[in-house]
Amino acid sequence: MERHARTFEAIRPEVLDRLLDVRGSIDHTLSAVPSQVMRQEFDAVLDRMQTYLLDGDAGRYRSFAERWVAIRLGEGFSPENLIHSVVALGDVVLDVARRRLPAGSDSADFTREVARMNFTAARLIVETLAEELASMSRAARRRE
Amino acid sequence: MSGKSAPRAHGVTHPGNVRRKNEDCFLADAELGLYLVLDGMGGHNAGHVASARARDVIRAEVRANLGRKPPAALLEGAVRAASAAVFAEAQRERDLTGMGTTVVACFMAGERRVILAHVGDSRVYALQRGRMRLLTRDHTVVAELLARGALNAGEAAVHPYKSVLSRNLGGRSDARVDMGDLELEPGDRLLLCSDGLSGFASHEAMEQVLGGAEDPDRAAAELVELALRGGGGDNVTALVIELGAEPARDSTQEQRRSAAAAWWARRELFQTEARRRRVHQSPICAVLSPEEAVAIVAGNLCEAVYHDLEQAAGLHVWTYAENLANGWLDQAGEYAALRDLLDQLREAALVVVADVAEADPRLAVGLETGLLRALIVAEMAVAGALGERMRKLEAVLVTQHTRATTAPAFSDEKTVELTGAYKVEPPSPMVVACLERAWAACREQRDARHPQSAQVVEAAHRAALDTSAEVDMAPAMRELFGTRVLSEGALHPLLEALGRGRARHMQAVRDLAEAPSIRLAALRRLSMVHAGMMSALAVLVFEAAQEVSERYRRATLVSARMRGEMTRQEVRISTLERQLATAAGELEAGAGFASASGSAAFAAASDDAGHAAIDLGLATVPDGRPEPDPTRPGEGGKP
Repeated sequence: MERHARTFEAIRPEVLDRLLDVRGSIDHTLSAVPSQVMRQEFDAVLDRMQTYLLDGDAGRYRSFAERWVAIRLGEGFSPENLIHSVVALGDVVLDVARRRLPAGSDSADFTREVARMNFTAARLIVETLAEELASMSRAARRRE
Repeated sequence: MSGKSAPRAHGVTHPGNVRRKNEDCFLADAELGLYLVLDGMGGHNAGHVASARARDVIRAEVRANLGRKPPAALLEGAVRAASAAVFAEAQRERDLTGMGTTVVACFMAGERRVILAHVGDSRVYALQRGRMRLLTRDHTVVAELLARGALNAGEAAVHPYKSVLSRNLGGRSDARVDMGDLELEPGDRLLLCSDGLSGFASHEAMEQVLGGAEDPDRAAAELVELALRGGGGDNVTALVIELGAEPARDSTQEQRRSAAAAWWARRELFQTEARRRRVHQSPICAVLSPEEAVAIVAGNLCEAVYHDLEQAAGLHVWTYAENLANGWLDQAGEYAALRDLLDQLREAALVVVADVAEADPRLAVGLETGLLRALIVAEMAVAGALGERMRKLEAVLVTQHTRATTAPAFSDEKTVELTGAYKVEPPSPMVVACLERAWAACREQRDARHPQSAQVVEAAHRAALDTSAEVDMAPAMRELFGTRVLSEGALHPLLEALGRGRARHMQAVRDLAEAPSIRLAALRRLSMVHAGMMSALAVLVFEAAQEVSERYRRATLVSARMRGEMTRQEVRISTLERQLATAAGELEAGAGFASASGSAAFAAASDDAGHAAIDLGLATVPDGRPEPDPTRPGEGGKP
């Protein structure tokens, strides 16, 4: 796991720049946020990704992702935008890795690890949405 | 273009999810080497007339002057001629007054050299070495104000006129055309599109589709599909041009194909593993035989994954997961069952990966990465299905809240008394003991394929033990009925569960070694309870139907009013568009808007490959890509 974290660290500056470049496509509301603010936010996300690649602790990554979801839901992201934004973060890492890392088994392993991390995040979002839907259903039934 | 290998090109146009008319059009003329995308505007059918007329004039002009003028002058002249023709026609026909169109034009001036012309907010992108760059700058009022520093990015992003054009073809007789040129390498792709694509799909997603699709045909179709999934709020057109007849496949493509082949070769193993993990016992497969369940649920996923692996796309798995999720959630199914089924299928797929790893570990890594991508797409589709239901439920909650806080609008509305309550004698202790034993037997024989039947038995058991003088079946039935919609697909499983649960419950009592009189008393009580549940269900269905019919009546009234209002607004918008386009054109002509006449706004490649830099009017970011347009969802901004 440590080598994946090191690989991630090596491409991290470019990932951050790329995230800032394409933040409008992650969600158009992000393009209105000043670069400095977004740089700090993305840096925090990349920190967590790197930690996950280092220790593989899904629980810790999950708790971070839950906070990310809470913040974005509070900002009025739709469920589709929410999952799209989370998946897009991982996709940018994959995209930079594809272009920057030399072809080989290390690069392929790293790509797979990032894909696993991305799947974990996507599942987390779906579970959060399902819980939210169930809670809304219960509220609707109670009001009946 | 004769004698040269023509680029491969394919265009797709679609009216979108909201508009009834398609005012976009495109041209892909390989013989002339001319490729166009146009987005018409104007009331009635004028937008369609403008875009089609401009297309025909440009083609005729290029054909007539081919070889007589330098390529750039040829294309610019053709576009100007089209503007004059559209303007003249708009002056002649009263119904067509104010019509106009955008255009992006691409003319092959050699094997690799491309001349570009552009007016309006349609766009050209270039995909080179896996990276997609925007080559045009939108001619919108907001983009011009932003370039002059009159607005900042934040103001531009929310500006009400961010889609209003500052230039169009046909707004005046002498259109100002931005020109540019570009050198392409074999395998490079150009995308010409209307704002119905760039406005409804992210830059990142477009880049992935444009770079990942096997050929221009698939790229264009998938890009349009992308815009429709993103809302499809406008007409959408995508024209993809690829240089070089047979670009060499890179190692990534080869590996992808090998992974797809390895996956398909092990489809039997996947289905066997899916069966071993009992996907057929999932509640989602309740109405299917085990063979059908494996063939449909696992078989279809296997095929979808294969196609998506082969094409580096996600559409097949998306469709599969979306259908699965919608089918199940429409029956008021729980998300947990959906998640468990997807997990069982994922575990089965990982067995296939392990099998591939024994023969070729590197290929297995590629296959797993591709599979994970497919599973992420499935999660995104499920999220979409959940999101759709959340929005509907939100509307219901709002209605409920409004009803609770305001006086009823229809005081003469018929109301239905819920008659699920029965006056009965409380059961004797011996009957209670008999019922408890029957309930224990039912729990032991619980069938995982029919979780709702178990719920029915449990609800009936609780009601049968109720010692109050009046047994009310309504709460239990409300719980079982949930948030079901009134459809055969939603009600049938519940009715089936009631029948199955009743039969199992009664049989459990019959099988007990109790005195016949006790069993008879227990059976009578259960019979009354189950009949009460049926009555309560009938009342709930009637209640829901009454609400639906009332909602339908109100919706009909509202939609009639909205149709009228939309027609009025459409007319108003088209008038305002015309006025603004004309005013912007006049402002531009009078005050030398933004840049001198004839300056090019193409941010062409000034990258390390030494492509000709033709950027005369657009700032670039350090790596040579155009400064993203923050007013577009597909662009990042740097305020």
